[in-house]
Amino acid sequence: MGSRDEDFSAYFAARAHALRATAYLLCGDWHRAEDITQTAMTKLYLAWPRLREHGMDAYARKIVVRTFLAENRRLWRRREHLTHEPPEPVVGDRDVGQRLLVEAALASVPPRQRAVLVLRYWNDLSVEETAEMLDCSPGTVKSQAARGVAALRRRLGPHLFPGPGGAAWTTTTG
Amino acid sequence: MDDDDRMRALLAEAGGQQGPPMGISADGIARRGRRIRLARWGAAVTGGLAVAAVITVSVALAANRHVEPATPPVVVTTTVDTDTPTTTVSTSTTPPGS
Repeated sequence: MGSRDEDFSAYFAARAHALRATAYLLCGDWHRAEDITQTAMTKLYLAWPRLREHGMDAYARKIVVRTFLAENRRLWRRREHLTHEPPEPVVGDRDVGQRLLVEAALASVPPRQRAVLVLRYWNDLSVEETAEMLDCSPGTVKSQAARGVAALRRRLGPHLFPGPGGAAWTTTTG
Repeated sequence: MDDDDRMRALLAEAGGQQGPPMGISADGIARRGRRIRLARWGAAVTGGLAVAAVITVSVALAANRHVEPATPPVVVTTTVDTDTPTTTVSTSTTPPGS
């Protein structure tokens, strides 16, 4: 195994799970998230000699987000939606129920807005970095983020997502 | 807690779970990557050879084609003979018997 493969293995061990989590937040399906991660990692492997050390994470994230958006444009993805989750939320475990509620709310947000939300609030990217990643203007990122947050608030209601002067934040209580 | 912090907490809750075991490995990705690189290299070599073959055949056909020699141009010359005298015939307009 050459140095390239060893370096790649080390990077894979360190970052693959985080990339898969990003993909999961985007698509809401672990199997599809793994497919997207595999695509991203394969492209990363092919581009490995050209990438600088500090650019790898950004490049991998960009592939994940763009692969997800490209797949969403395909019609068959809209018709066929595979999931490993049970059809009904688990009753009795409040944390799991809330998590499923959040996932369902996230899935109801349009893909591009979801990508903005995930990059901004999961990957902690700035508006400018998110805009560069999605190949759009910072103004578009701001408007998409505002719409995404508004959609989540509508979907989750004031209990999980209180307004600026609303009730206490209660996702982890119980 | 403002909207940004709430969003971070929401996504941390949804994305922080363990998930099923990872079904892909670095070795598998590397094998796949090497296969793709090999396929790309093969396609590039095949394409290069095909282009070279087309160019070679074209040059060979152009070099071996029998070309008829061109016929010399036909020059048409016209001369005007100025030494030959010219005669004019005058005709009378008076009717006969007048």
